[in-house]
Amino acid sequence: MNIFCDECKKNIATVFLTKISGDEISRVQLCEECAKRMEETTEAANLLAFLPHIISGLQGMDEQLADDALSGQLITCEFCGTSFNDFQKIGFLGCSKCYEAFGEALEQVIRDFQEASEHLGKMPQKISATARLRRKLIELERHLEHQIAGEEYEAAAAVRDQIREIETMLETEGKKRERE
Amino acid sequence: MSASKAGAGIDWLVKKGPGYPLVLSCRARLARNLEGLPFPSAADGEDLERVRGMVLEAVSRRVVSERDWDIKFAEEVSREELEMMAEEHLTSPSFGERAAGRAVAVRWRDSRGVTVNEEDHLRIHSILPGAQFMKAWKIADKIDSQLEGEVQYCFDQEMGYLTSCPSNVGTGLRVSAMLHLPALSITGEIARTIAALGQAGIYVRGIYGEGSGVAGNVFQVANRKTLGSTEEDIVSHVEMITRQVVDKERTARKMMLRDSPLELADRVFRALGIVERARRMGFYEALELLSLVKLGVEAEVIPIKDFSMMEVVVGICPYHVRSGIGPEAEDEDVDAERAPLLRRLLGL
Repeated sequence: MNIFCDECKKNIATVFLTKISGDEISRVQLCEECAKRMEETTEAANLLAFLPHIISGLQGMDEQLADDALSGQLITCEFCGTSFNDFQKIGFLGCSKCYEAFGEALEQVIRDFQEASEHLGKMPQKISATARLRRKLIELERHLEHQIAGEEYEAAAAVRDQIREIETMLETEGKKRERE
Repeated sequence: MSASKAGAGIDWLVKKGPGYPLVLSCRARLARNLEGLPFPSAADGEDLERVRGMVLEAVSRRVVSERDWDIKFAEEVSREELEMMAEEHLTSPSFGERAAGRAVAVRWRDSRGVTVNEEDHLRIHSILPGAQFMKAWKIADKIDSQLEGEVQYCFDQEMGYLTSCPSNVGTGLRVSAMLHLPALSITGEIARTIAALGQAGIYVRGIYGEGSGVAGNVFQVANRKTLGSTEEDIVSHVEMITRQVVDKERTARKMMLRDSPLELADRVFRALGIVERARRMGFYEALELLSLVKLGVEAEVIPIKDFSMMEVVVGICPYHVRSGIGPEAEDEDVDAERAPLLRRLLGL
């Protein structure tokens, strides 16, 4: 699925049109500029449904940065070699690192398309288990500090054992991930 | 008539589900990628092979009980079978175009499966008859959780599951329904419906997904956004929208029957007449006629036995027809075969 304007292939599409002619249903997505231009042509007469979904794509983004970002001159993912320009052309990112590499330009694309910027759904069990363990580790370390300060050495030893256990678990998990 | 070796009935094609006959089927699909490897569009042959090895090993260990799952490497499957798999909605129409490194693991009967190296490293899907959205999601979710025990997914705390196209990022979940809406099409109401759905964050597509035309008055509706909601909220949204569209179709049918019964009868019987007498028939013409005949049967205007819309649709698809007459058949032969085949499928 492409996120860019069907006309100029450069700007993020912010206007979604559904066109029905005969038995054909087709979707056209345009940036605001191209949409305006098309509105003035006869093409618009064929558009049964005119759906302005997402308002101006690059609003709120620094103009220079937007220009640089969208020109695709500056950003290339070091891991897979995909440039932002490639992404604009084919609509696909090259790897998970592209999400970081394309930074704000991509974040903006995602915010415009998804109208959201934070994942609220499922998390991999493995990740959340690790996250849970990390949190537990931090809590125990704080607890340990208190106990040592209060000279509760016996109890502190037990907590230290717990901490070691969790550290080992985290380490094993990390190694397992490396192997994968 | 299926690409499955067993050839046995596929549930979503033959069974009636909730919302019958307007909701033909529903589907939940999850997009996932493996950490540390480029996405399929940027991957070389070696990477694709690695991904396939890892995914299929995970599938074999966690999901498959050997008897009813089938694993196929795309390059080992004939062109015809790949096309038939796409016609059965098991893979996307573009799956067979670049076969190298791709694979599919599938349980034919209840249409659950994992496709490897399509747009994303893996896509998990479940297709069920009628409106069983939550169940379809739960099935896909379970397979996802099983696989997750074996592989490391690309996941970001903030952005969720990272996908090849940002239109799937977050949950990676696309929930869709296949709806048969002849009355909304005939009355022209469908254009307004599509416009309203667009505003509600719902995509409308043709029977064979993205880029396919609408045929046979069968429309696919699906969530557009995949980020910023829980999976359950996405499922409920598509479910609610489906219910609303189906209600509109019911109303349109009632009004047609009440206000212009003669026109309706004329329309559906003309379609039946062509189906009964035609000597050759193109795929799209067949779909249009099939839709009208189905409407006539459901409105109790045409006195023939009810049939499963999707079973017949898949049965008259180009490669399914071809499978009955041999791969060397010309398009003309396929059209000539389709006309009597359609009669047989409808029991005429």
